[in-house]
Order: sequence, then C-alpha cells, then structure tokens
Amino acid sequence: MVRLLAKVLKILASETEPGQIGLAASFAVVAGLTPLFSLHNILVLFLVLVLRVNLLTFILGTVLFAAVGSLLETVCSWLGLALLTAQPLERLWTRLYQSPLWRLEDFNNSVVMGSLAISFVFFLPVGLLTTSLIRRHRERLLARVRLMRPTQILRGSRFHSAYQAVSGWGR
Amino acid sequence: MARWFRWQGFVAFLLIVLGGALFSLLFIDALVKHFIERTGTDLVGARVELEGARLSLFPPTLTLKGLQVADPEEPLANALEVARITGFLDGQDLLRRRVIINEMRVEGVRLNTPRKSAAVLRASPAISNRGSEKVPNSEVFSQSLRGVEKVVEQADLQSLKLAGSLQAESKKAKERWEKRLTDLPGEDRVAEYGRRVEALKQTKAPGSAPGLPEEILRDLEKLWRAQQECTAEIAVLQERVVRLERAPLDDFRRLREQVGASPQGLPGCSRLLFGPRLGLWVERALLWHERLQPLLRRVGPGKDIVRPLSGPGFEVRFREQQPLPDFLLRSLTVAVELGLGHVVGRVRNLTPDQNLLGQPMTFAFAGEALPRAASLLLAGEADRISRPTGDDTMKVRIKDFRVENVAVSEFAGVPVTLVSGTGTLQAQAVFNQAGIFLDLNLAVDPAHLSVEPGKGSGSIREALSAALAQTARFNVKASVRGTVKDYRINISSDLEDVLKDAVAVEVKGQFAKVEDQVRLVMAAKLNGPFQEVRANMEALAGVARDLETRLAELTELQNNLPR
Repeated sequence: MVRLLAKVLKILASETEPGQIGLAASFAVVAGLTPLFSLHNILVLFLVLVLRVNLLTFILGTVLFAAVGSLLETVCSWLGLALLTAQPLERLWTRLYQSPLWRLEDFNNSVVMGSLAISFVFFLPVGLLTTSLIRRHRERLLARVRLMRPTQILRGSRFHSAYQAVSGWGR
Repeated sequence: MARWFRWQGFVAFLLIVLGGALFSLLFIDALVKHFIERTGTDLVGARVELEGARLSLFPPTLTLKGLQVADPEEPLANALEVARITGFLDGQDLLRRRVIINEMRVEGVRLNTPRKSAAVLRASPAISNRGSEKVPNSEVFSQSLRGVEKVVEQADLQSLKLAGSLQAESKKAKERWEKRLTDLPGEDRVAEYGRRVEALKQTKAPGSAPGLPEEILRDLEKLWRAQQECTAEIAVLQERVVRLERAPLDDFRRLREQVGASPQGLPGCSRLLFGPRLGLWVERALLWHERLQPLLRRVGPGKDIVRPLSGPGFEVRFREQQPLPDFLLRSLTVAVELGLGHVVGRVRNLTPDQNLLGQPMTFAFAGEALPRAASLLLAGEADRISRPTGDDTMKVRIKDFRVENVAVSEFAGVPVTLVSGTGTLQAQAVFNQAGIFLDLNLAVDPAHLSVEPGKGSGSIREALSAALAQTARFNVKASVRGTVKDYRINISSDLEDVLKDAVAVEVKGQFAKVEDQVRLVMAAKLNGPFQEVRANMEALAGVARDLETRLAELTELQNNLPR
C-alpha cells in the first residue's frame, strides 16, 4: 500500500522542470476558475495528462483557483455578459450558437464565458510567473523546506524510504 | 517529442473518460433524482421527493416513480402525489442542452394526501388570514340583546345634545330679555306719559308740552324694535324646539338597532357564510399561480438574456435557424384521482420560453359520468408569448356534483355543515396585466344544511340557525376583482333573503319586549332638560307679551295726543 502510494506520489511529483510546473499552473487557472464540469475542461485534462506537466501542481493549483473562482463568480458573470452582448462579437456568438458542440460547452452562459475570458488572460502570465519564481527560488526554498521539522519527520519515515526506492533519488 | 509528450497520458485520459462515463451510467438515475428533488423543492418551497428515477438512453426515456410534493401550507400533507411519470425525450436536442419531452404520461395523481413527516422548508404567507381579510366583515350576527339602560346610558343621544344646547341658549335669551325689558319704557313711563297727555288736554294749548309727541314716538320705536327682535329670536328657538321634539324618535330608531339586531346588516351574511372558504381558495390559487410562474416564463435583465434552468449566471440567446426552448413539454397526459372520480387531462406546450415556441400553454381536464358528478370540465390557457406578466384564462364547470359533510363556515358563532347536496359550479377566471377577474356561480339543489346548537343563547342566532336548517336550496355568486396584492371578494346569495326574513320577524318580536323600557329610560334622561327649555320659552313668550302690552298702551297715548 505504501509503495503504491509512493508510486502515485512519484508520478505526481515528476516533471519538475520549471517550465513543466509553470504550464501545469497555467492549466490549473483554466480548470480552477471555470466551472469544473465543462466541456473545455475535458480538453484541459487531456492536455495535462498527455503533455509532460507537473500533475501535483495542476491539482493543487486547480483547488486554489477554484476557491478564487467561487469568489469571482459575480465578476465573471458581469464580464461574460458584457462579452456575450458586445455588438462586434454577435456574429461570432451566433455562429457558435448553431453548433451542438459549442452549445454543450455552454459558452452562452455568462459565468462560463466570463471565467473562460479571465482564465485565458491569466493563462500565460501565471505560467511565466510560476516558471520564473521556481527558477529563482528553488534552491533556497528547497533548503528551507528540508530544514523544516515536518520534512525531517517525513524523511525519517518508512514512506520516505519507499518513495526513494521508487524514485531513484537521493542515491 | 518525447520530452514534451507523455504517451501514457493517453491511456490515463481514456481510463478517466471511460470511468466518468461508467460512473454517469451507473449513477445517472441518482443524479436525475437529486436534480428533480432539488429543483422542485426550490420551486415549491416544500420538500419534493421521488421514490426513484430512471433514465434510459435508447430511446431516451425518463421514468419517475412515487413523486410526492409537500404542501407548503400544511406541514403534514402532500399537495400532490404521483404514482408514475413517463417522459419520452428528444435525444438530439439533449446534445444541445435542451430538454424536449415530446410526450409525458402522468398516472395515479392524487391531491391533498396525508404524509408522515413535516416537509415545509420556508414559511409561506399566512394565507388564511390574508384571504379572509378581503371579505368585508359584519357583526350583526354576534349581537345579542344588551341591557337597555346601559345602552341608553352609553348611547350618543342626539336629542340629549340638542336639549342641552337649547336649554342653555333659551336660558341666556330669557335672562337677556328680562334685563332688557327693565331698560325699555315700562309701566311707569306710560303712566307718566298719560299724566302729561291729560295735563296737555286740560290746558288745551299744544305748545305747552314741547317735545312730548317726539318722546312718545322715540319710545314707541324702541319698543317696536325690541318686539321685532324678541319675536324673531323666539321663532328661531321655537324651530329648534320642534327639532328637539322630533329628535327622540330618531334616537329611538338608532337605539332600536343597537339594542336588538336589525335586518339591515344581513346582506353581509353570504360573506360570513362563504367568504372565509372562498377567500382561502382564492389565496391558495394565487399562491400556486405565483409558484408556477418560473415554469411559464423565465426572467432576465434583457429580452434575450434569461436565467438558466439551473446553475449560476445568465444565458444569452442568439438567433437560431430553428429556435426551440431549453425546456419543452409538448404533451402531458395526466390521470387524476379526484374526490369526484377519475379525471383525465392534457397539458400542451409547457415551457418557460413561450416566446420562442410561439404557442401558449393550454390545459384541459374532463370527466363524464363520474362516481360523484355528472361531468367535470376544467380548461384554460396561460399565454406568455408577448407579455411576461401573461394573459391567463381558466374555465371550470362541474355539473351535479354530490357533496357530503362539507364544513361551510362558522356562522353566527356556530359551525354550518352542508350535510348533503347536489351542486353545479361554474367559474371563469382571467388573470392578466390589468388584474384578476374571477366570476363564480354555485347552485346547490337540493341542499341539507345543518347548524350545530350555538354556545350562546341569542334568539337571533337561534332564528338564523333554524332558517339555515330549513334551507332546501341555495345559490351563491361571487366575484373577485383587483390585483394580486389588493383584491376584493364580493359574494351574494339568495340565502340572504331567507335569513333576512327570519331575522326581521325575530327582531320585531324582540324589540316589542324592550320598546317601552327604552322609551322610559330615554324619557327619564330627557325630562329635565325638556322642562327647563319649556319654562324658558314660556318666559320669553311672557317678555313678548309684555312688549306688546307696552306698545299698545303707548300707541293709544300717541293717538290721544291733542292735534
């Protein structure tokens, strides 16, 4: 059981390049801010699984941005409504409205549209910022984390040994 | 490529998608059940429960079993119970997030059934109070004979008021005139003039009494003016005395109405008999009409912006080649078990987006040769195509329905029950922007009304009870006009004449018993003021006579003056 858990953790914690973590954070913005059970989130899930991105970052980021998203629901609705009723975009929306796929996407819902717009705006900045932060502070942050008491307790546990065995790190 | 792609991810994704699909297939019924219960509960304000739900995909069919909709006004009752609902959905439209049900069958519908546990979630307005408030009140039946003296004592007697003011004014006038009389030329002055006139006659020289004719003339003028004023004042007071003499009769009439009951108030008896129940029905109908509004029209901040059927935000609608509502129940066949018998009905075009469909929602329920009625017809239309407030119409006709032991109302403090009867009910209602227009006609023939013995011993009450118990048939007409928040219920019935006659006989008999007593009490109260007014008027008349005597004497002296 412990080995299985360690294996899952290894998969989740793999792909630890700054770019991979940054991309995971970008996908988390979309999955977290927009309604979870949406058609576009199936695409996000597909990309997250197929592309080599850090899954743990994606999961934690999704939880974090979902919390932010629930606070921003009114703003999202207002923005979505503004976009959906914007005159220059009317032809585009009308064309999409005829397609069953886009109707399933529920793009004409103000919250869906608003949250999608916000997540698209923040997609790149969040990715770049996360990558940059990881690059700058990884060593320093890692050293601090290693010195923390909970980390030391974890490192002395059976779970850590199992994790090392499956990951091959620390040799 | 391998640096960026995780080929195992494909497998993981497929597993997750398949797992999700499997989960949905396994738990779709529970999800549908949960969705219906939650949406229904939000809509009604009381618990909506389902025994089970089943969604089949090939062909798309939804089956619901054991639906219970709790009554928001009755904690331990279901407003509606349905044994089975089967709906045939349009599969293609589901992919467009549209629920189009072409045909739905609802079987085993029962209304107002008991339930084991309370299920009211939010307090609904106190409908019983609101409804009865709309029915004008009348106290005539609760009156009983009161103590005569107490009533006369407390009564606002106009005659006593008139007597009081006339007493004071006549006294003032009397005192004023008595004082003025002393200032006017009196007997002494007349005697003096007499002596001077005699002296003048003896000297036979007109110039020997200079100014005497002028003095007499001045005094004559004073007396004449005073007499005119006195007579005028007496006339005014006399007129008031006449009014005062009539006032006790008016007071007596008023007292008669207060002491006993008067049949004048009886036109309100239909309201008392049928008002509370009708008020309650109207109030309940309005509440359900309001609750069902979300099923008939969605609201939103703009023409093409509406609230979604579930979930947050707004939905913006765009032009479509073949526009269709998000939810549409094209045809709903309902079999209802009413107290009268088995009734079958059909509802068409139930959708919150009538403006897209371009057709109003219609309903028609009918039953012939029912166990407890000859026929039943209930039909109507809810039109929200052009106006969000709607234009709703409904017609009801129930012919020869039989009723037993139906509590009509509390009447004169005692419960009235329609023990048995056969009735015909016709009603039509219009509900639109202008307000509510409801007209109802109920004819019960034969009717056997029973009235429980009253708690009190009022003979008026007994007379009314007896008249009701002897009633063999009756008609009731009612109309409701106004707006949802402010409407009036007007009720009339031929029972009013029956009861009016009964009460009139009783009132006559009752008042005869107390009439003399009332007269005596009133006379005792009015006697003192009346006597004083009469004495004052007598004194004033004396003043007037005195003035007349003086005028006559002085005039005679003037005539005797030598020329």
